[in-house]
Amino acid sequence: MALSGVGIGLRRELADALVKTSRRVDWLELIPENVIAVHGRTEQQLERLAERVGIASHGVALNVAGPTPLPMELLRGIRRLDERYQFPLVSEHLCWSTTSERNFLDLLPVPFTEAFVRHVAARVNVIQDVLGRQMLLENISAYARMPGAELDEGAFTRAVLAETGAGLLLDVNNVFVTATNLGLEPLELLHSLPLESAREIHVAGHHRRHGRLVDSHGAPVADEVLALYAEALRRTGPLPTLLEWDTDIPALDVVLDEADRVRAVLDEATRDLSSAGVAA
Amino acid sequence: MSPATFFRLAAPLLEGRAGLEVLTTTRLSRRDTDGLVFYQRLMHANVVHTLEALFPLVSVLLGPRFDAVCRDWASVHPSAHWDLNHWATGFADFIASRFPDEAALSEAADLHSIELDCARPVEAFEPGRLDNRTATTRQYTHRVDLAVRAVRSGPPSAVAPAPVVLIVFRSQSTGLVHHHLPDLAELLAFGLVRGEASLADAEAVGLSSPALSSGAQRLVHVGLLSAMPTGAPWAA
Repeated sequence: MALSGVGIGLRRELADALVKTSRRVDWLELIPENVIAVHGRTEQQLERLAERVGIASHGVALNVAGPTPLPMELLRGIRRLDERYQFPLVSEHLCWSTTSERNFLDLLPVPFTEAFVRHVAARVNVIQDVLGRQMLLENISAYARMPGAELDEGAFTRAVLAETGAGLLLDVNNVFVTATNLGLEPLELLHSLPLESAREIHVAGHHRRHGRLVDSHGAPVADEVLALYAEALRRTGPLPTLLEWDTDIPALDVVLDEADRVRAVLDEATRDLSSAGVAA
Repeated sequence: MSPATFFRLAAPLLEGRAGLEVLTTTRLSRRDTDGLVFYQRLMHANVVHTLEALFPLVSVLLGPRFDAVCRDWASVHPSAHWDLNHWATGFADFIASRFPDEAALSEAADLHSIELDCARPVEAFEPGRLDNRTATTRQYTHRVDLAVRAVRSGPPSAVAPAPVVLIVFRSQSTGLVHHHLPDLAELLAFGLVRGEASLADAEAVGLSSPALSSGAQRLVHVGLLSAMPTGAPWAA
């Protein structure tokens, strides 16, 4: 089932209401780490939702760029979920989170170097071999540059995708958050990324904390991010877009209202591209 | 900088075990060094958030002390596992050793630990294996189960000092974890079969050893799990 339109994150807090709602939900995205071990009622809810809409997988714990061996138990679990639910898209983050001693409970950037391109590419190739399919890699939010950078984020990401055949999950909120925190122009950072490889887009809300923007996924999407999203769509064409809401999760209707707001931008961009002769 | 060098420098820096001077050979702006400190803050906040989600009653009982306890726990027992629930492993023992005179606190930590243990089915990683450990018996000196329920439903409440024996179990049909206050027959049957309850448990609820009739034990155990109540997640 190919995905289109605007989906929302499948979260435990929303599951009951999602099963019952008659409102438009184009697709869902689950976090495999959260459902790999569910059974009983939660599993039944997932089955019912999967009968109605397409579900994509968005992992958070593979430690794609990390120094430790890949968590094969988790990776095989994602493969089993993929075999069961036939995910149209499987994604992870272009980041590290864990050393042999500690899970840092965060998505951390690596230095953008040629050595790290080779390091990350080798691990992404293993992941794709185990999954038996292409994965998408998401640009993360950054609060600092890591030392020793030789490349910018766009060139680094393009090189990793070229070495692996992976696609880009373009997180527009992360572009805005990173650019603001690092003193870059959001549009320049957006245009530097390999948008031609984008297969999915994420949008979300953020907060300001201690003078920095934090990718909290706990607020409506900022107007500046929606404007950046519209610009991204002009470059990528219409892509399945996910509204992420993971903290301070409101009632489902509030989340779906926000999804409608995002969909209006997607629909307008699609119309503009159609009238300009670009295939939707 | 090689990946190995980067991780060797960055990990202690982000943990706060090393100062920014380890990066003196690199050219980082003030904005970026401030950003690295910001990562340290975020990580501590994430540890607190994770442990608060896993041990909500402990967080309530400790109040402002919880933050420092989380910091100490993370420094001596960091988890490297991808599953965040692993941050809970050993935390109850840590609480018990750190607060030996606060029984309600230790019991609350223990209850949350066995809830987590019951909640995690093993067949997720071993397809076909169905003999999950689904239930555990505990004897407490405080009604921490009631306090847990109060915390989960809204305002925290005091923990009453009252002896109680609990079975914490995961429903086979719903996958949800429950607390069950067993009657004596259930308790003894469960304990004998599982080898986890003892005569002390029986005496705690006023029963005498003659009640241990083997026929009754087997009979009650057969119907035990199927007779358990079902309902909301973590229902009492």
